[in-house]
Amino acid sequence: MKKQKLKAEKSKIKIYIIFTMILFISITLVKASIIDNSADADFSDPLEQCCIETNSGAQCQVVNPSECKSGKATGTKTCEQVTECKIGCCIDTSERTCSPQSLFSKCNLDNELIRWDNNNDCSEVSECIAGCCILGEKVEYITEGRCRKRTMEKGLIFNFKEGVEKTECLAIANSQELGACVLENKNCVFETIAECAEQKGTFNESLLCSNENLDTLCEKQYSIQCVEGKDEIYWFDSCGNRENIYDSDKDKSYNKGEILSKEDSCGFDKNNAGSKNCGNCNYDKGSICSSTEFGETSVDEGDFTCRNLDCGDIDRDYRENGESWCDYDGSVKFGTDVVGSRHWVKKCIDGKVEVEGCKDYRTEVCIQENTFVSFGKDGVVRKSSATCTPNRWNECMKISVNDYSNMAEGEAAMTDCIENPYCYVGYTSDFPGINEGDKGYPFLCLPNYPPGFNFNDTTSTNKDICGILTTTCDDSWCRTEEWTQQMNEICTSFGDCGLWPNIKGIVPPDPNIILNGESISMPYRLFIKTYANPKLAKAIGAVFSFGEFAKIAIDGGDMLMILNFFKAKNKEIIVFGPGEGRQTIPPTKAGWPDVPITACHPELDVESCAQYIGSGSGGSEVSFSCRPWRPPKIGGIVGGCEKCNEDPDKPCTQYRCSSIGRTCIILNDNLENPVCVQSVDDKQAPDIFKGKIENHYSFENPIPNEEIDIEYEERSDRCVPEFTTIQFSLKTNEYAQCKWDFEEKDSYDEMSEYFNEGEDFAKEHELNFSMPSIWTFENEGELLGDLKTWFANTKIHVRCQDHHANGRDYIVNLCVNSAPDIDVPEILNYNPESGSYFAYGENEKDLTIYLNEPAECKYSNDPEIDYDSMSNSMDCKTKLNDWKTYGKEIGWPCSTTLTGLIEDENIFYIKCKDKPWVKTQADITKYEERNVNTDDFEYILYNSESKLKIESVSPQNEITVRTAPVSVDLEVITSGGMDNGKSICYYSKRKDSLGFQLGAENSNIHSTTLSILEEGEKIIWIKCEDEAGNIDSENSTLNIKFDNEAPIIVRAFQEGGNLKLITNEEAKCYYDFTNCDFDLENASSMTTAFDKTHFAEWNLGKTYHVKCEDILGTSSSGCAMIIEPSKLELK
Amino acid sequence: MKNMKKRKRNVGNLLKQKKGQVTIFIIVAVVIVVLSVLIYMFYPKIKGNFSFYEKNPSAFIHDCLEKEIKDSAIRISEQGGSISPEHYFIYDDKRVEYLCYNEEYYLTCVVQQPMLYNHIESEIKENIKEKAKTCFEDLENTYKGKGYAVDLKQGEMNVELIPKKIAISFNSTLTLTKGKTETYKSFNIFVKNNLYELVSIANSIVEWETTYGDSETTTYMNNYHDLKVEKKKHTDGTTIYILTDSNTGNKFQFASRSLAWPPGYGASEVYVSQLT
Repeated sequence: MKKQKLKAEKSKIKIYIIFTMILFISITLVKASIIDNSADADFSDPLEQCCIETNSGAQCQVVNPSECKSGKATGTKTCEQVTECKIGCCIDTSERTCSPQSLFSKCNLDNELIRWDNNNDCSEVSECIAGCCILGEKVEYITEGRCRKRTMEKGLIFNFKEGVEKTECLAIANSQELGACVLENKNCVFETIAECAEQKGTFNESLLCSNENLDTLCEKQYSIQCVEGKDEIYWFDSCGNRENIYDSDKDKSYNKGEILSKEDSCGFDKNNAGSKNCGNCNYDKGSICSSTEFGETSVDEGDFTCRNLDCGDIDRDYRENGESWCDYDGSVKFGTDVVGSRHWVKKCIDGKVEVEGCKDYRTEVCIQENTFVSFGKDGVVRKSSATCTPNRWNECMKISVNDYSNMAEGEAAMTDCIENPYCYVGYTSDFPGINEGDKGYPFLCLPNYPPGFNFNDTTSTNKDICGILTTTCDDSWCRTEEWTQQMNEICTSFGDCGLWPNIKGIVPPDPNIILNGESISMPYRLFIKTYANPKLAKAIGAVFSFGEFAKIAIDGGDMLMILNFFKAKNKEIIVFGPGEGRQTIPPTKAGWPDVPITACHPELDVESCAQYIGSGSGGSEVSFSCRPWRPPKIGGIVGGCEKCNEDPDKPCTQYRCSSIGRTCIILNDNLENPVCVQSVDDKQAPDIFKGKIENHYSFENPIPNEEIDIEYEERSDRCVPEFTTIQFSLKTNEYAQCKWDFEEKDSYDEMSEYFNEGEDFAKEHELNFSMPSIWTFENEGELLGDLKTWFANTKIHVRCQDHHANGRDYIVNLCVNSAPDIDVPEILNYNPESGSYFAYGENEKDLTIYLNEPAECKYSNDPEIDYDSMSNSMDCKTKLNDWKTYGKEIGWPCSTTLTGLIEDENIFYIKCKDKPWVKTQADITKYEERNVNTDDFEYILYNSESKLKIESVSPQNEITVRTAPVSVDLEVITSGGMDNGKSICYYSKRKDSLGFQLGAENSNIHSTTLSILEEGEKIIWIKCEDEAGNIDSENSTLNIKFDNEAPIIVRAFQEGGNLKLITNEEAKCYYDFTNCDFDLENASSMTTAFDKTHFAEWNLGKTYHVKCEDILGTSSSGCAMIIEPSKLELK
Repeated sequence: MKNMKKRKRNVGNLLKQKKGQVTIFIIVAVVIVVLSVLIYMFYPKIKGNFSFYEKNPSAFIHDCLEKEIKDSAIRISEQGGSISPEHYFIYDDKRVEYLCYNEEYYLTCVVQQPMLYNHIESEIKENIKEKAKTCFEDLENTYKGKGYAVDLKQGEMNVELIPKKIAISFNSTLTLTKGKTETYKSFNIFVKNNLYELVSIANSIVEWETTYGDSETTTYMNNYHDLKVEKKKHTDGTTIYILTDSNTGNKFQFASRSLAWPPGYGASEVYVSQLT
């Protein structure tokens, strides 16, 4: 009985040790997996440079020199300073055509007729300004020079209207005066007066060629036809001339041989689709002239019809021609997009629904706007318009990342998050588990549309993004499934992380790691499947609409801020307390509940809540690690991968295909409809063999595909030292996933630990392995015997499997040093770094150091003082589980506040002593003496020389521009602080909001280009901060004024022998004596510089045709004024 | 009675004979028509009676070059403006040239072919020049064969895209002498094709791409009712634009890569280091 009890006890101990070690090591591994080396953190390749032409023929790209054609590398990091890569306006002076955004090297300047201008978009090049060129009945939107050329070719009179937009130009085409041009021999052509003049005919405005009074050969209403460029069905006479719009009432249509306008024709402003009697089709109303096809009704006089361009009822919405709307693969918003999904824009074009995909991986999302049109019989009629826009998830992460030093800043940031359509507010810092410790975020701002991940990319940081949500919690509620679900839902908001369905509704195994908590149950898994069904998800999505109301747990502190915030937003709040139970507080309620409210889940009833009230660990800490989503095994599901090919309107892509199953591959992805198929299973498990191992360690006794030993070369017993991270790798002959465990398990899924690459498929699998000392374990409890044996013969069981789950087992054997610890503690990291600066005027600074083992530390202002004589103790965490992460590593933290900081240099001397549990002589006998540093660790802090100061912000005051949007170059110059003004600056439209980064970091000149759409006063708030924490803030007031009006001449009179003009704004005026159709460049100027007064010689016999142009280049299309001095009659 | 029967029989025989003749005539007529059609289709040189060209050498050159011009236009249209694209994306088994491109993420593209009209004109010119030379040689030989003394001075060829047409002009002089002398200065041929209009739209789209990284295509379709603009976005950030004139079926397609975003968090390590 006793033996059995002892055995049971030892088993429990073993399990406890294993779990603790697993926790310790797994955290090490997870954290170590974040960015292997610092080079990866700098994502710009230092070798990349501007290449004038790449091997693939691309012009002016920043690439690795190996991708550059011979002789085309420039040696510069950007292309902006390379002459050949300058961007500007390339002008063909012979054709009078202009190409904006053109490369200098492609401008063909060898041709003397081609010239270059630095103006990027050609907007300030006078010969590039396009206008409406009227060429008879047709129009072209081209430059003036090209218009002259065209006109000459056609033998027409030059007619060019500048200052006209393209759409206006098209409208002009439809308003040309037409008429019957009677030629010799009674022939007649229906055309414009200009065309008629060219043919030397007699023009009869507004008459048809078949008009009886004209006595032509043309008989009326001979046939009907569509006309190119027109929507309607027209009558044609026997000469082939167009007459009026078709109407079965012939006389009405004929209109006595005169032109009948569209407005006066039958069925004006109606669709007339399918009408037998009226051919007044209207594209804007959804119809156009077309030859009749099978099933369509033609008009009485011919095989033509007004074809209905509307798409009719689509998903219970009537869709008109030109309308567009969003379509989704499943649920959207609040982080619910399913894995593999893409956003789509559907458009009704010419009676057909066209589907256009937004960019894959949800790098673009579909945004729809509904415009009210009218009240129809079935309710409100709306027309929708949708477009793909870039998914600005990074703005949400930026808001989450920032530290908020006060409530106002946090509140402003929360407003930014709510108002950003790409973001939503997640949870508050008091939610159990989401406690970032020192940072203390008031909330999480999460992407509304999580970005999609490339599952095949093993080097990306995506897995690290999921890993951000790795947290521990010892609140009792954290042991409920509800907590796990909530954590999972935050996890899935980061991207393709966590447990979530794919586009086919398949929910793969849960990739998250939950220790000591409740795992996800089947009902929840079944529930989340519904998110893959867009219609169903809409109906129930509101339940998880965290943006609509806050399910928050309140615990003093931030309560007031959060409650006030949501009250201001007119949102109700659900709070929970033991006395009153769950209650919903409407925003209008005056006062707040005065019962103590503690953390509890809003969905729980009072009794359940009472169980969880009051924190207290009551057991081991619960840990949740968010992991990347992994495609399911498609296995024996018939046609599993091929499901991706089902909808030809939504072609399969690499992302969609790989989301369906891990063995799905995409073929023909450069064709219009690629196919997704199952890859072939070779039924072979991957071979496993040794990889790399770091110095001082070696692989020994390998048995291929079975096992291998790791030995430490520096010790006689070859055992690896404790508290030391060993990095080694195993290799497989094909891409495989590998996991490991201290215990032998039956299957891959049962194994608990991942290699560094996580769930990714790789050929090399790295592991960072570290063990604490056996004595550390002993300190946590009375543990001996089994543990020593275990330390002496540690087995790491490995299993690797390929895409088709063909797996193989492998064992790595090693022993861990269990000898007494004789090494002194080591400081692994300082935060802030030694040699850093503190803010000007500060006289104290918080310091945290991280040690390689549990230890106690002290510091002094004087060097070489014994540890025991040092007077300043640091606050150190010494339990085995007290380790913390810093960057990629872990260590045991010690913290303090360094005070009495002076100007210039401040040096502190630190020493540490390990084995803090050794207190008595008996302890010393057992664990040996404590090891203490004899040499000091030196820590230095420098003072900032002065405050950080924003020296200037430009521009300030008024800016006048022609049209919206206007680009404003915002520039801020800083000085002082830690390093001559080098800092990072942000700008925002709100005082307490951090806003957006302004220019580069670590510079004293910060600039960016703002795009402003509206007129009026704009205040821009600027805040700058350097690395030492010196801060300054400032604001800039801009008054944007739009001026697209040409200058007006307000007075014209004679003065001292001159003609004097006064304009309403500063301008330059020019005159010509002939007409208003003159070039400013060649005309006589009345002004030397921009001014409001203008002079010209007084010449009685002449007529002055005057044009004026303001500073922005705006001038009227014709004359501003025509002046005859003899009469001083102003026209 | 007998006579009547005999007469009837004779008449019947006669009728039968006549029916048979008619049948034969019909068959022969059909054969002649079919043969004529076949000859017309497969022997194009016979299409036009040379007497038509005798007074219209431009028409000869037009008919000689027309197919080559059309084929060039089609090939160029399918490949983003080039006969042999250098920098392209493979779409639907065709090499579609990038008119606007940036290798990097988060940046708008750089226009790769700024003078697109000029480029297409020179591509067409380059592609048809050999054939044009042959056509003029044929023309010369044909006239000589008809007994003319021919003096042909071959000049420059100019290709221009104009509204609804491709205009090819030859600055060549042809002097024909047969009795009297006739001189033809310059040869102008026009082939119907609305490449001009489609390239204009393409230029406009490229302007959008280079400024905003994308374009709103519905506007073009609202302004030009016969135009269809399709946009196909690919995983690597490339967008293929396909412009189609629904009246003529003419198509112009090109590739663009602008403001591409990597999947997931890509190069956003800054967020990782700040949050951990």
